[in-house]
Amino acid sequence: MSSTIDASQILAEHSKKYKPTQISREIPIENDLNLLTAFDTNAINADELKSNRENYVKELSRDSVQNLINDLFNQPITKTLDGPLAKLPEESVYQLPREKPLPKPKALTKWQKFANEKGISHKKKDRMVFDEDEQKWVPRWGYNGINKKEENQWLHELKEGQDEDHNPASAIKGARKERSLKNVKQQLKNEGITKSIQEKQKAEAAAKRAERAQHKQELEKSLHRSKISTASLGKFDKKLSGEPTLKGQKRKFNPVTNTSDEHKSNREILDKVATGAGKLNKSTGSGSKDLVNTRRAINSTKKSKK
Amino acid sequence: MSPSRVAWRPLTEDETRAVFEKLANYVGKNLVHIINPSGASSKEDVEDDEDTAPLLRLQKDKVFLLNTSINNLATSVARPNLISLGQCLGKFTKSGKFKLGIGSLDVLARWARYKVWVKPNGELPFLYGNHVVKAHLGRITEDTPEHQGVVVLSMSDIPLGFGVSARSTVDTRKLDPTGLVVFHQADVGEYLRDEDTLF
Repeated sequence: MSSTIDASQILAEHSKKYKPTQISREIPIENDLNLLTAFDTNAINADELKSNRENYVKELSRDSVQNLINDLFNQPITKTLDGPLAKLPEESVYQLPREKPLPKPKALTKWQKFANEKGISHKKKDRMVFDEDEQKWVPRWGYNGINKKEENQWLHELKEGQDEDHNPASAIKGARKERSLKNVKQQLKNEGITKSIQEKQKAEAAAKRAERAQHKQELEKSLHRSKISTASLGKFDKKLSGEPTLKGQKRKFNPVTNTSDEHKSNREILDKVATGAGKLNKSTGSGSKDLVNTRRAINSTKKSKK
Repeated sequence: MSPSRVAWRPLTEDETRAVFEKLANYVGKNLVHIINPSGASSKEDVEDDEDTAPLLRLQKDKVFLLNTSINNLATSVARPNLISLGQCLGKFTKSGKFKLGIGSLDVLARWARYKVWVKPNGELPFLYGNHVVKAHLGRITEDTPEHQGVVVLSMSDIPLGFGVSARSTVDTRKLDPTGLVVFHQADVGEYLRDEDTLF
């Protein structure tokens, strides 16, 4: 009799030894290969979690890792000496939101704005330029620069109608200096404009921060008030673990022994009291200042009319 | 909320004003002599009067007038143990008003603007805590207005207490003998009557 092989038995043994590589879930597990993370959004079996927590969590995480590894093998793989390497995607599926807003772009200078509008891009100028007359390379500026070619001529033509003591060389040089000065002036002005814009932005940011801080303070204050607004003034309320203890307002008085400051402030208050500025209780007495007690006078005339 | 008045401490600005105004009600411009005897102005910081100029201190609602050297000595006494020091001017009520006490009589009698002298037969009734009636009135400062803080003295110029004038000097003349002239505020009889709570 030829013995038959019971395939189902072998299969069962195999499944006992090796767990399945294909994972099926109601909601498919999402993989983020860039971060090498798997997200299982299926509902957790609460009963099993209670009765058999460790194994249940282990099972779940094994499935997710299996799914992640399956996906890894689907990526383009290159063979190297160290073994196969999978190429991971450049960007992750899940982008964490920024904590703070994007920084504001820096304010452009007047020239940068103009250049952007006209589509002018920065082109680096060569330091040397070719002088056609001399047939050689000379610097654009500086010693023997081409910008000084005219003023350094050995002979200048005196044009008609110009004074006899007119010096064309110094006139040309003066014009060049003026252009340079004008440029510096414009540069400074532009810097000033951008600086003022930047300062304005900074001030706005500071104001916003201050507002937020005040809001936070108010929130804390109202929280404090609500905490001590129970019948026991918050004494017998359930506390959360790690809840900070309420801090009372500390009053600060002047030091007992620093008497010179006190004498000074006493004298100031004395002056105020003597002049009667901002008197605390205005209704005390009528006598010394007014000859007539107006309150009494009004009352007595009222009575006499009746 | 008003600041706590338990601890031994200097007065706050509002409290100082309250005390000064109450004193000024009796002594008027002479207040300067009490608080600032050297006459130093508030702008300049004078070193000389540091030891002589009096200070105001608060302990359990009571206001004390004392000079700087005693104040400095007092720092060696623990605050809960310190009961009284210097001259007790009066006390703050729970609602933050200041009331002059009999301890301030020395200062008031010396610098008072308006005074009332009572006849010998009126001394005892006043010392028992009663108001001063016209019949007991010996003498009164000429131009005393109505509702003005006045110091009450015996005919031999011994200060007996202080109060508030019920009528102006002119009105008292028309008053019948049982009419009130001075409302009682404090008298030296309190040293016996209120011995336990005075200091």
